[in-house]
Amino acid sequence: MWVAVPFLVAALFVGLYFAGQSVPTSSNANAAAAEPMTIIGIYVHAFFLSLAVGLPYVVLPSEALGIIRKDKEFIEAAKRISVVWAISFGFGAVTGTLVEFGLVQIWSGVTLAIGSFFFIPLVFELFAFLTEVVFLALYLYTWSRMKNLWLHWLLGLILLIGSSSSGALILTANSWMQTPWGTGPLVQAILPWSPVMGPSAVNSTALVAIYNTLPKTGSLVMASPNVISSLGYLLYDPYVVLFNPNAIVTTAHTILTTIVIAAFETAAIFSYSYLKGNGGKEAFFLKTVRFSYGIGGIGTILTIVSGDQMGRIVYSYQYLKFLSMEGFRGGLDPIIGLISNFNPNYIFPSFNDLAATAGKSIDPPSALLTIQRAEQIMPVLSTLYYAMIISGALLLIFSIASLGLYSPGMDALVKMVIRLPTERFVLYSSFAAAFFAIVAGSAGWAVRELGRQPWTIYGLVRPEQVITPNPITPLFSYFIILVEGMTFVCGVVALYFIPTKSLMEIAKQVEVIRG
Amino acid sequence: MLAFTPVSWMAFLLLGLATLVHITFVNLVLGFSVIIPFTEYMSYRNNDEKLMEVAKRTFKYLILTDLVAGVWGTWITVALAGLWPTLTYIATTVLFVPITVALVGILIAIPSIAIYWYTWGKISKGLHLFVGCLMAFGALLVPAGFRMIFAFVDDPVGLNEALKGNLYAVFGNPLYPALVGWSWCGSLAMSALVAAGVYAWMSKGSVNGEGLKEASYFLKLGMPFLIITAILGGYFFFSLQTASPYIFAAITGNTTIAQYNFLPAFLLYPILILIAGGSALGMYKSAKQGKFSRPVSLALVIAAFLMVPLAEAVDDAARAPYMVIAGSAGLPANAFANTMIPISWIIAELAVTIAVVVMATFLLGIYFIYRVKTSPITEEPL
Repeated sequence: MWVAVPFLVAALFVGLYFAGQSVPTSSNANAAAAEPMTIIGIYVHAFFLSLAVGLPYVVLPSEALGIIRKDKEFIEAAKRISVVWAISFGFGAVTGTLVEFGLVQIWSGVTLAIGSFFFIPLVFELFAFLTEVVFLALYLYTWSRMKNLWLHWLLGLILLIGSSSSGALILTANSWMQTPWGTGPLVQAILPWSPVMGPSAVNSTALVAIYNTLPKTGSLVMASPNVISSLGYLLYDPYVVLFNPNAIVTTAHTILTTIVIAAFETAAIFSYSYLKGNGGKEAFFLKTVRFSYGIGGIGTILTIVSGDQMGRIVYSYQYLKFLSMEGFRGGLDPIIGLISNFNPNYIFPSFNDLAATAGKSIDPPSALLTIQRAEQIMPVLSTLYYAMIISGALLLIFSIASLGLYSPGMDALVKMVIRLPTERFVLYSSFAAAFFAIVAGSAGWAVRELGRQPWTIYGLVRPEQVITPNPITPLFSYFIILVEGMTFVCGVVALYFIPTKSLMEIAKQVEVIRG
Repeated sequence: MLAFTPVSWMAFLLLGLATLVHITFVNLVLGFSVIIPFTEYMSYRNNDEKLMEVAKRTFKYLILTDLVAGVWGTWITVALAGLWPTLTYIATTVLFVPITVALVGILIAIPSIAIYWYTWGKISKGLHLFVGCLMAFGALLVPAGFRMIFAFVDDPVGLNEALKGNLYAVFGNPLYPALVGWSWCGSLAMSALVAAGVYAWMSKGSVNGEGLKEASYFLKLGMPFLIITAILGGYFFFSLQTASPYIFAAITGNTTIAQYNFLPAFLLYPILILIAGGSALGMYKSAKQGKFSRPVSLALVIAAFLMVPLAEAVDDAARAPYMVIAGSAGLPANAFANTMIPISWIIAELAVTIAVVVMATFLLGIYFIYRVKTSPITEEPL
């Protein structure tokens, strides 16, 4: 406990420093001040969420194998991992609350979208979340309490559907911010190079009025119920959001990514237990490593396939993001041409070509700003993008190499290349695999979010237009980041200690060492 | 007379239902979050193993009630943002500080509940109690923040000042202190008396002490808070007369000002307080003779369980058809309800029906979890 004291003192001093910093006076500065805590909050949430969504895909196959093969070790593995799953769900729910409040309180203008475009996904998500809560509790409490083991497994399956649906619906809302599906040619009217965003299910007059009002009033327009009601319906078909092609691909790609992260993290934890050699349960640890590594491998291959589809969606609907993440200024690139258009001689429109079309926009300065921002962000975005690609490629190599566990030929190849049997390679590489899976997932999400700059809702709404009118003081921002950091640390500590051993045991060990 | 539109009707009912379930269970969470670490402390102080067992057993109820409260809390947030977007915007902008306080409370309370449970007996007593204190502190912070929303919609003090940047002006609301105090003491009284009634019921009137000691302990905890709750409730009632005359008129049956008469429902509140107080006192006296009357303990559980949610429901419903009260009138719910998407009467009625069915199924699910949890472990089939 005393270890925490220097950190708390340091935190206090840093807090005093931030208390002396100036308060933002413009909505642009306010949005910039709010961004760090939002980004950190989302990543902390994503850390726990990736486990909460991905682990069911490790737990349920393990339990199913245990039931089919009448193998207690697979059941034991499923039981152990389900504790981690429960803790990550708990911390996911806590950090989700933080993100939820961050959205309605800090980015309060987003309530305009919550009341219209996000309405259906969020209402459906409530039911998914409810399913998740009830069935998680049922699943955890009914281990060894049901005579028919498949009935227990079925509870887990419903839970898996609940957690994946919950993720899918939140991703659907996020995808709408990337490609505002159902707005028809509206985005194209502002960003002329953009394609039509699906059918026109919106009240274009009202949305154009909002588009013109937001830069003048900021989110304060929402404080006037009369103004909002005078606009009439914004969206005629609230279900259109569910048919966004971006949402479908994003859901598949993101959920597969969570499976990869969860599976390789499980493999890493059990490898650690194996290599440490505690408890004489090495055979059990090794079996779980092999199993979870296999799930990670299958997930990796599927993620790469869905990642290709994701890239095509970005190319089709967010061409500027595509250029920035590829680190490509347009023109001729045989490889990119072959992959994206099956034509190595394809000439890609350049930034200058797009800038030339800005005159067709109903808001040329915004069109030009979008191009300018894409050029500015290119070095960061392409670095992140290639970090994701390289990590994914390494995971693919690891996955293929792990086939040596089952194929003598591949085992021989692995031995020849790294002079280790595949089993050892899998044990050691599981740590790197977990690391690269996290890097790939984090970098991929950063590309997705940074790539839509300078827009919050692509082509329609900017961050400074939805930020709260209340100043986000440096001290407030620091305080929230501190809370986010502490929540993360508590969560990681809980994830490690609760399923493994008690702190008391560690304290006893320390006492023994101290003599 | 102001009429509801389909969307405002649906929004009013969905928000009301979710709030009612949430408030009912969150009061138990709040009360137990304070009572349990206190009980743990008392068990150490008196070297009383039985009290420790009581704390642990009560904690399991806390987890289940927190599940219910948490889920419906999320429903409230989505119902507010989705169905009352402008109201949510105004609330989060004007009540920025109190909502942040509540959020910090949630962030402290939920992880500390998990840590408290999983570290029980695994870390030193002092450290575990410290985590318990954190849990109690976080739980108390939540109403300290959120009660401002309720005070604000009853009497929107500080609205203009907050929109000009003075975010602390809302703390001048005369209803706020009474409401927070009432929430704190009400939840403690409710939780302790419900627990007392349950233990007394489980004792089956026996004189062998099974459940007797626990019930007496909770009675001693709950009764002082019941008295304070009654006093604060009275103070809040009289504050309404000047701060929110429309609500005062509605709950006193003055239909020349209010559109609906909530006097009969409101009268139930002091009746429930009297039943809870009377049955608690009766049980306390009979406990000294080593016995409990089961009907009296049942009356205590019912009265204690209903008194706080009933008062909440009456205060919230008395605003109808207004969403925010300003003196003897208010801003109608229709003005704040979502007008951005088409919602017909059929959709509205269907949504409310589905929500009621889901709510009932969810509560049944929680009951089933409780049953499963207390059922014996079967033989390992493999």
